[in-house]
Amino acid sequence: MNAIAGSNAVKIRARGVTKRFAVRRRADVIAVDGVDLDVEENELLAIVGPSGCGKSTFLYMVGGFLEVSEGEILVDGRRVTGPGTDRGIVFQHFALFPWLTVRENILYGLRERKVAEAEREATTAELIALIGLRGFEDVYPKQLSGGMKQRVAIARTLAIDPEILLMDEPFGALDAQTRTVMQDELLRIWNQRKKTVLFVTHDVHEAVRLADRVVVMTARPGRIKAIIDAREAHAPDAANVRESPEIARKVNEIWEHLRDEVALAQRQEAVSSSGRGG
Amino acid sequence: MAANALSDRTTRQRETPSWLAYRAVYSVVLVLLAWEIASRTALINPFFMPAPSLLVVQAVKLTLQGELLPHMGATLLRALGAILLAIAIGVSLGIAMARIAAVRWFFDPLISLGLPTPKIALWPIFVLWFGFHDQSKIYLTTFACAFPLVSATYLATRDVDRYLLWSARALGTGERRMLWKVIFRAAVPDILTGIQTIIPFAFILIVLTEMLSGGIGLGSMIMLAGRLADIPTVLVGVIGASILGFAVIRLGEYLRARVLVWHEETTDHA
Ligand SMILES: Nc1ncnc2c1ncn2[C@@H]1O[C@H](COP(=O)(O)OP(=O)(O)OP(=O)(O)O)[C@@H](O)[C@H]1O
Ligand SMILES: [Mg+2]
Repeated sequence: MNAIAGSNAVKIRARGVTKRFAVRRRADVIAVDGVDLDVEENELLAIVGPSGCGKSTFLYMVGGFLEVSEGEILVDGRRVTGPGTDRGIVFQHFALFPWLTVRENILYGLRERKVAEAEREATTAELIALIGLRGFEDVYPKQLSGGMKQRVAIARTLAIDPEILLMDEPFGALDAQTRTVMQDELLRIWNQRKKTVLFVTHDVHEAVRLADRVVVMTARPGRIKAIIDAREAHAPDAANVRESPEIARKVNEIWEHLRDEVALAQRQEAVSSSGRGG
Repeated sequence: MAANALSDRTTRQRETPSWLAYRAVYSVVLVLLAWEIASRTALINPFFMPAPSLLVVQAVKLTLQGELLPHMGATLLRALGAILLAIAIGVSLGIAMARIAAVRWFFDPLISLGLPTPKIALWPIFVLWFGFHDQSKIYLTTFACAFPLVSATYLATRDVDRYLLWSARALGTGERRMLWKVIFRAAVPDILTGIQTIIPFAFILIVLTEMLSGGIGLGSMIMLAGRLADIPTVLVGVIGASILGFAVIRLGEYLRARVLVWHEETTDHA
């Protein structure tokens, strides 16, 4: 388990990161427990784990939205104390501004950063084309499907071109075809602009196909169970290979780690819901 | 996908023809008709319950004598003034409470206590402070309407979805701009609901204070007519006040639909 990276520059460093939530009249919930992780510069790192194991919570701490209870998170060697435009985030439930149109949502960060108008408009138009929503520029989020909202959320974050992309199941709401297209887009953008990407997914196959390394988390409290190097499964022209024996082998390997944890998480779920009932 | 979302919009446009929105009028017409018949056939005493047609005649007569419109105008202006003042005070205080701990600490108990207090009972004091004319009426009504509006605004600005705030932070919005860029906008639907709830309160209170003080205004007109047992004029006054209130409520609904085009609740024809 080489959670600690070797030669390359470390972009995100987590040391003993723990998150406890105080719950009224119950023991604290430990969502994340002592996570040590180094994400290298320009690495694409996937996190998989059973539902409720603390994946989102970990992402929020890297984003600076939640404070760590113990340990520390460093970005470029500096301790994270709050959100910043160096770290863009795509939330699991999109969080688009409902009072802004598709175009205005994507423009939002550019306006906040006072980007010149011509550049702003060009970037927005380019992104709208990228996410395939031309013709929907002036539509409000309420009129979009889940998959369309998700694409707008991705474009809104890409617009300000952050060095780090934090993505919480960014393709979860997409249908199979759009999902593949967007995965390829992510790879293309990542190849082009060299970003450090930390993304959570439920889709092990997606994790293997996209990520350099895949972090498998345990059921709650979330710890790192294994880190699997997926690079060896990538063909030189990875974007064009969807199925290969190497990928299938990696997927199986990850499932071996994941199976028990998913079962455990389900038992936890059953216990806590019967506890609530009684 | 594109075609789908667009056709979805056009079908919704066709769903509710606008005349259906006025279906509510039928029940009113029915009641008026029954009332007319009951009164004409002396099923109810026409002295105590004059027929609607007589009220129309009375309304026309009063209008021609210049006895109705000035009263309606005075009531309308006072109510609108009180509503606007209550919005200015209520919304800013509500936002301040949600944002500033000290303001919340000071006002929260006062608002909680004041909300169920019968503000009209302060009328004698308002008269002593502001006299018998417009000011006392408008200020008392403002005062009474501010309470529900403060608490609506406070709750709306306090409970903004944290993911919206986080998104804005990650996109570069600082703590200070957050209020205007996100918090206020996210709270607008609930603030508007608060404003819409105070409209009927405002009319009730203005008419009440007019009844208590004489002078110009529908309330005073009603009180005076009552003393002369002039029931048609009383009823014309009551109906006049309802019509004013109704018109302002509809105006509120219209403005809401204009402001909230982006909101789930707004269908496109509205
Ligand atoms: N504010 C909070 N207060 C109390 N418990 C919380 C809070 N936020 C999260 N939790 C708990 O922490 C645990 C981890 O939550 P988190 O959302 O990070 O899981 P996740 O791995 O993202 O799950 P999913 O795959 O379903 O999105 C869960 O058990 C959740 O109930
Ligand atoms: Mg999650």
